[in-house]
Amino acid sequence: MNKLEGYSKFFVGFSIIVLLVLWVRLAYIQLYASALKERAEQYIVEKKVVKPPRGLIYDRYGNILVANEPAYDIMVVPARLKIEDTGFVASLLGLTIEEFKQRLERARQYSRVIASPIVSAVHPDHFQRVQTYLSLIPGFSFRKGFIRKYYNKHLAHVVGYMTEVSREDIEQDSFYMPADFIGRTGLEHFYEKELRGQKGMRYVLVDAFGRERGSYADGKYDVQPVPGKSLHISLDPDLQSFASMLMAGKRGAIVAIEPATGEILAFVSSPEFYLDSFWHRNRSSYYLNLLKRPDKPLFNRGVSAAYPPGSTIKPLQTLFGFKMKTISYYSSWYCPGAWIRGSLTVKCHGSHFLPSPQEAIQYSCNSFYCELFYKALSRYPKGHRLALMQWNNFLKEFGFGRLTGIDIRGEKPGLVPDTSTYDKMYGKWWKPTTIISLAIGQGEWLATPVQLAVYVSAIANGGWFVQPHFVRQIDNEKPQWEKYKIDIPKADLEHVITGMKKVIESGTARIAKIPDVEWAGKTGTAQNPHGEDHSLFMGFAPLDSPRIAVAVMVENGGFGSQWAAPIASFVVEYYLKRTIDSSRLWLLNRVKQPINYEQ
Amino acid sequence: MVVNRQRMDWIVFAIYLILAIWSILTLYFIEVSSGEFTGVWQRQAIWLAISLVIGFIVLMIDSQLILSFAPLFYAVALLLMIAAIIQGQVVRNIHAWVVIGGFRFQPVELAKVATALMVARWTARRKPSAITAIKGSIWAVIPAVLALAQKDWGSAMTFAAIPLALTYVGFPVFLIIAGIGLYIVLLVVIAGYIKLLLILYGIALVVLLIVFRKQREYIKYIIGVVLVVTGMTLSMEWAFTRVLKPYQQQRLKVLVGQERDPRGAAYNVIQAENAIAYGGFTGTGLGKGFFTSFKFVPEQKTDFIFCAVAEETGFIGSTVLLFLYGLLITRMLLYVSRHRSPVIKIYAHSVAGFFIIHLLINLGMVLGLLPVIGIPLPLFSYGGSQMLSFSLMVFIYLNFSRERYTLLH
Ligand SMILES: [Zn+2]
Repeated sequence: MNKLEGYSKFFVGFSIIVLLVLWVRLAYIQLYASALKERAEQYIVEKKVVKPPRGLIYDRYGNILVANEPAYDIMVVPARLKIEDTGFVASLLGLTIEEFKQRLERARQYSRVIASPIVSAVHPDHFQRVQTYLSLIPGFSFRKGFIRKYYNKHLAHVVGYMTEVSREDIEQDSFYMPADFIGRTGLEHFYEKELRGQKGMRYVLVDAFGRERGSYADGKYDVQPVPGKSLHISLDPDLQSFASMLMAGKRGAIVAIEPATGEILAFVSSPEFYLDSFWHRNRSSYYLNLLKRPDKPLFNRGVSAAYPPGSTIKPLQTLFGFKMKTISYYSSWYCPGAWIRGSLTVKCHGSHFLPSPQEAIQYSCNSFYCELFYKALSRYPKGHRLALMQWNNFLKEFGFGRLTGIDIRGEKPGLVPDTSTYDKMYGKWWKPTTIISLAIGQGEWLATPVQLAVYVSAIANGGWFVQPHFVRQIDNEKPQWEKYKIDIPKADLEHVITGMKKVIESGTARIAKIPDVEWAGKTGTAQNPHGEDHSLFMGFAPLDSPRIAVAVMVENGGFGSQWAAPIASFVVEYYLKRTIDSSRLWLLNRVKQPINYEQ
Repeated sequence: MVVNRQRMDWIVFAIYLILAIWSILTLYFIEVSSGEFTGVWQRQAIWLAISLVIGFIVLMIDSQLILSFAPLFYAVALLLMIAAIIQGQVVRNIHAWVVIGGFRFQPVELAKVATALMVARWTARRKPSAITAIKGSIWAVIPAVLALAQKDWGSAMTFAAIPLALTYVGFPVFLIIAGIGLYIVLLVVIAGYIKLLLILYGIALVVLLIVFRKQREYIKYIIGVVLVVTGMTLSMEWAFTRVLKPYQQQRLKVLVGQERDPRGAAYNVIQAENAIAYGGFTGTGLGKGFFTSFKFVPEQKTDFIFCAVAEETGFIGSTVLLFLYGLLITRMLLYVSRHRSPVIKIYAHSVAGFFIIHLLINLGMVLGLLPVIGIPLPLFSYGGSQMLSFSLMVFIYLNFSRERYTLLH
């Protein structure tokens, strides 16, 4: 029996070498193969985002208004790209060479080896041509996407446009990736989160050439995209088209509301633009041109244009007078053709002999309102500050001087002045006469068309403020909209409505008379220091059970009776009767004429 | 007979426990990552408990008794292997499972323990020499051949542990190196780099002739060896391209990582590499592995369990794990080196041999260095058979480690 000493040196050496080799290999993979790690994250099993279809939009009658159409995203793998003629490729994609290079750089920053979109939502009409050329160039590939399809040509300011996301959008919301589209205005903006849905995720096996080789694990880990929610909106598409036609060639807005609910029936801001063009090849130049145009088509006049409301607010001032008890149903005072206090003179349209409150509305007597407002302000000695604040609160209840909460982008609050407004302008030394132009809706008071429509709705529906809105239903959910009763006696309202009825029967808006339709309204003129005054009108119909309240504003249209009142009457007539009485066709032809804005 | 009591090797016991518990934790966190709780870690814990019970029984048995039972144990293990070939269950295309009392296990795992014991017993009684060592290795050849008959390539290869261990009693080292060389040449031939190989032979020949130009008596041997090696290489090439059918060639190519079929065997290797790379230096954190959570790596609870460790605990964790195995192996050899009984020393070499060969084949595969051949990571992969057999190996070692005695038969 021989002694065995120690241990097998070969064995120990072998073990140590094996362990060292394994350890070095481990270190190589885990520490030095950063390229491997990049591949580890995305290469063999690639995560692919699946875009959900954007939510559809349906009109008041359940018909499709905005849908999706298949389009194509053009993808690029920067590392593989071999372009000989950059100028040609850029123009093919509808980009300048600069833009093309920027986008390529963006793709490069995302990844050199993974495809990312360089241009998304290429219109199918144009895609054929793009595909023919680009499929010959290594590095380009295509994937399916969506563009919007509009079933009404006059939705620009309601639905709004979409553009590619900016860097800021991506930073603020991780939902977005380069070349995604996002709603910029209108409903597309306001309901972006509902419309966009949830992105899905697909795990696919990808070979060394970036080609898909089937789904990973039979799609077990795939996440299905959740389609965006559908919007069911209150718009009447025919009325919308008709109203847009009325406004063609003019600058201004029409807002038509269902008074009982606040649902918007028609919403026009003129001039319009074409949403389809935002999906075409030259969309960026189209957009730039819109920005440059002097008539500002991108400006949503329905919610953003704030002008003095003029005489349209005289019914409201009457209600204020009743509330403050400065007038009764039988008050009257003589109008010599102007209202005079000391050195101050406010002109009236002709002279009026002892007008009643209703006649003051009917003939739009300035003197009556100056007197009313002056009395309200000077009811108590030095009480004008308090009275102004009461007036301010009263107006805010009707939606003036604040956001009405309409569900599209860009609403402006307008302005209802209060004591601080004048303190800033005049110090503490202003008097009732200083602010007397508020009595007739001029001066610092600014209101938007949608505010006028909400205000006339409140008169029509018995004194309820209704939040104006388009959306009745999101998928199956009904959103809650603000609605509250304004404290005005019914009798006061009826008294005022009778006055508004007389405006049309035999007052300032006789031209807006509709055969067989009893309705009420009020003309207005917004003073414009820069040119012709703006023509205003608001009204509702029919008188006994109002179905539509409408506000019309025509920039530089002069008196309310000139443009706004007849336009409003056609909107009302069309909505109630779906036709225009032959006796009024001459007027329709006159109203359809464009306004010459040259000078 | 002189009996000299020694303390048990507590350090090896500690390493054993750490590895087994780490394995259970890893299985637990794999389930946390993937969000699928299939009871795997609980079952592994039960296997550990069973192993410990059996282990403590082993510790209570006298070492002489264990050795005297070795031939019986060996015979039973081989018979079970034969039974598995004839009637066993086929799992993953391997005819290596028997079912006893509702438990399914691989007798080849038992055969490893039995062979280690048998070889130690047989060899220790003989004069240490190359002949003894080669003859002793035959005890390992029998179960290896049976494993091949089960189509279990991996297990068959693990019996290379015995010749490696027997270098201690004089197994010729050049045979082992030649064996390794042959295996590498085979891989290179399959991979299709035969021209490169022949050029290398040429260079080797020229270099050797220049080095030994003064000792003319060596020159014929050098030329002879190079010619034999070249001949073998060429015949392997011929066998591979002419004898094997294209689909068989394909399968072998995938095996050596030549064809990267994303869905086939190469897919495992690519995903394993990705997962390990993803871990980086510090790892993704326990239960947070991306690749682990999506189960990109097939067999991540069994043969590829190292990926989960590497991904979730990173280079730090996987280095500690490698270090523990290294410590286990060297500690066994060093601890018994001053013992007087040759049985203990040979047995320790065999056990260490099984550990290092398992590490080499398993981690070589996981790290993309060697072909994909499925064998478990000892004490770590999910599975009762390997847990029991390696526990048994370790506890018998612990039993032996307590005594320093001289056998006088
Ligand atoms: Zn008057």
